[in-house]
Amino acid sequence: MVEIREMPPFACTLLQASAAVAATLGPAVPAPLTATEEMLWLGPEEWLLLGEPGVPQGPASLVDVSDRYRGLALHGPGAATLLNEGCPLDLADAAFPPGSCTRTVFGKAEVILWRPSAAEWRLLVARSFSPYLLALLHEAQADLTPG
Amino acid sequence: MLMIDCPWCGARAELEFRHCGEAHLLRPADPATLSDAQWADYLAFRDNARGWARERWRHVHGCGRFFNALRHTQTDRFAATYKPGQAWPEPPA
Ligand SMILES: [Zn+2]
Repeated sequence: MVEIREMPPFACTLLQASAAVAATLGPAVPAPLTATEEMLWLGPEEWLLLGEPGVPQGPASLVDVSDRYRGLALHGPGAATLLNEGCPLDLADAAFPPGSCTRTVFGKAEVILWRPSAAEWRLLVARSFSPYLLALLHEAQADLTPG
Repeated sequence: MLMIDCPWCGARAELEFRHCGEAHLLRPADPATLSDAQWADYLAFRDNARGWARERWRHVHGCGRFFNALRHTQTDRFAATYKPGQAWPEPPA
């Protein structure tokens, strides 16, 4: 059984800068398609910073998007199967190992998906889409539950 | 499901992408010197090839970046995808 939990509100900031400038914020800059505890890679020269950001040394765009997202945490074996009910990505260990991060879709909603550890998955979704996403996930879970 | 190779993210499902029209259109350096017909040609008229076409695509629900693709408009086969500024690939024989 996969546990689906809403994450408490959290601060996050969208960063657009060169990798060299991003590195001046302090935390290690994650490689493409990966995430660290502090930073999610979203695209070339684009990251989402979790928590309060530092001050970049150089040209950068920092936008507070804390009110944009609702976070969901999925935990337990079978989470990848549950996510694949609405997400077209290959989420097998070989294709999406722990540490992976990307923007993708779940149903009709765009989501940021990352995998902090083997059994843990996180989703960020635009807050107006969160009831839709939660409903889809619970329906998928019912579909996957035997009996 | 049709898979498209994003130059940054690798093979992804078609529904993460958006088609953005013909690629390699260059804005005229000095539009004021153009005739109306030339300006209209730049703004509105496209090759709309039946066969291999060079197109702009955007990985809108992924890394967000624009790239170019060589796609067959009848079979939907993608022969190549490449970053902006990279050399044009030739269509397969
Ligand atoms: Zn991409």
